[in-house]
Formats: sequence, C-alpha cells, structure tokens
Amino acid sequence: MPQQTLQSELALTSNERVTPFDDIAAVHALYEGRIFRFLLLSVHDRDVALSLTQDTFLNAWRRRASFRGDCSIATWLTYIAVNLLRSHTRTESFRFWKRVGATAVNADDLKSQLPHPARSVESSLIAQEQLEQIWQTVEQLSCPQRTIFLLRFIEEIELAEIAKVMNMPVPTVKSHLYRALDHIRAGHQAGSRKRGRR
Amino acid sequence: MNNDHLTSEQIEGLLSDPESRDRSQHLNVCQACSAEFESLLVVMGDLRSAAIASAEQHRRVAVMPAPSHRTPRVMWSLLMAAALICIAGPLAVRQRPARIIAVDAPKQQLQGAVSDEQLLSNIEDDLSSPLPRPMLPLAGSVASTDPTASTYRSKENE
Repeated sequence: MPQQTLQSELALTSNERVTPFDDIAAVHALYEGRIFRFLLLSVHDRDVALSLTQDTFLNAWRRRASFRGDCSIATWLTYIAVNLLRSHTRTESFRFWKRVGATAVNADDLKSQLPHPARSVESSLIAQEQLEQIWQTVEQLSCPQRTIFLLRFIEEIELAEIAKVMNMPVPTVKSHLYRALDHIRAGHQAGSRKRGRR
Repeated sequence: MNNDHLTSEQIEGLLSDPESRDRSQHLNVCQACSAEFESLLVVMGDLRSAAIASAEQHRRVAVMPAPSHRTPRVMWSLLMAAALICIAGPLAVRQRPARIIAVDAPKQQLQGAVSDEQLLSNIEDDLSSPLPRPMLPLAGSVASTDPTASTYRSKENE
C-alpha cells in the first residue's frame, strides 16, 4: 500500500509540466509594465491598477498548471487582468469613486505627455485639444467597447487574441470595436468642425 | 457613416496597417476620407505614445515613492536623535557619583569584616582571661601596682 502511494505521488510529480510562469519573477519583469498600463487606462486609478497588476501575476502563478501554451504569455496575462477588471468594476466602491471622479489619469495627464517633435505652438495646441477630445470619447464608451479599443489601439493586440482575452467570438469583438470607432470618428469630426468655425 | 465614404471597419484596417493606404483607391479619390484618415492616424499615434508615457510615469511613481517624501523623514529622525542626546546626556552625567559609591562599597565591607575579626578576638581574650575586661585594672594603675616595676624604680632611686 505505501508503495502504491509513492508510485502515485511520483506519477503526479512527473505529470507536472514546466510552465513559463514557474519563473514568475522573469515574467513579471517582462510584462508588468504592459499589464499595469492596460489596467491604469481602464480604471484610471494608479493604486487600484497597481493592486490589480499584482493580483494578475499572483493569479497567473497560482493557475500556472492550467496554462497549456495555446496562447502567448501576454494574452494569458491580459485574460486574467480583464477578468479581475470585470470583477473590480462590478463592485460598488468602484462605481462610487467613478461618480466622485477621483481619477489619477485624465486628459491633462495625457496632454502633458504629448510628444511634440518640431511642432509649432498652434499645431501643438490643436494636437492637445484633439487628444483631450478623443480621450473624453474613450471614457464615454461602454466597458467592453473601451477595453477592446484599448487592447487594439494602445496595446496593438490582434483581433483573434482579443477574442480569446475577452472570451468572445471574433465577430462580436469586431462589432464592439467598430462601434467604438464610430463614436471616436463622430467625436473627432465634431471637434474638427468646431475648430473650423473659430 | 455615409455609404459613400469609408466604414469604420475599413478605417480600422487602414489604421492597423497604415502602409495599405496606398492600395486604397477610395483614399486617392475622396478628399474627405483621406483628410479624416490622416488626422485620425496622427491622433491615434499621439494617444498611444501619450498613454504609454503617462502609464510609465505613473508606474514609476507607484513602484518607487518620490524622493521628496524622504527628506522630512530624515529630518525628523535627526531631530529625534538630537532630542534623545539632550535628554540622555544630563542623566548619564548625574548617575556618575552613584557609580563611585558602588565601587567604594566593597572597601567598607572589608573594614567591617576586619572589625568583626577584632571583635571576635576580643571576645576570645575575654573568655580566656580569668577576669572580664571591665573588671581588670586600668593600664596606668596596672603599671603602678606591678611589684617588679616598683623594685626597679626603687633601685634607680638608690
């Protein structure tokens, strides 16, 4: 009987696959910035984004045995981050702080980071205004539309990968993305017309 | 969107692969779509670079606190150290005589021990002597009563 137990334990040990998440420090060093950026732009709060980033890597390490290598490490991590984001945005505290408007990342933050390679003062101001307007439109998008928009245009993830991350069929992802882009285009055109009138 | 112009799907395809704009016949023909696409391309590029830079700045602040927060802590710790020295210094100076007394204590104990031994020897002398000490004649009178001393003195007188 003890021999059988030992054999089963040995079999279990041999079945444990080596995953990239075994070296979680290396994975963290490579992908932490990317995951933090996505979460920060989604929740607009630095502390919450940092906490969710840590939870993402902790969950990735805990669930490392279920990583089969069907997708990339970045996709797997983003999948966990999106799920954590969903459960976080469902909470009442998040809604309260969203109503209050205590956000760490806003249009002014982005405007201050705007690159201005050899732009005139006027074109810099126009660029800042356009950036502010487009960011306001992004903030008004629905949760899935905003997440898909950020994943596509900020993180530059392919539609098939976004479908895996969001656990949605590709046509649904496309539908959300094109609706988001409709809003962005409409806002952008309205802003251009307003500037043309001045 | 107007059917005569590019749809969001087409715009998305062009934004994802800006090199394909040369292959788009509509962009070559339609001035409005071309202007919109060029403008959107610039704005999306700005948005991406600004978002990356902003997130990186926030990450640095979140992971590593600003050094300006450290200066007051150092100041406070220095002030606390100075206050401790001010309080502990006089106390240490006051406690010095007490140490001297503690060093002198064994000498007194030794003196006490010597006197005890002397007392014991006196008691033993008392016990060995036929008469108790208080009953013995005084030293001067003993000298005057000594018979040998008186004879010696009388011989000298002679």
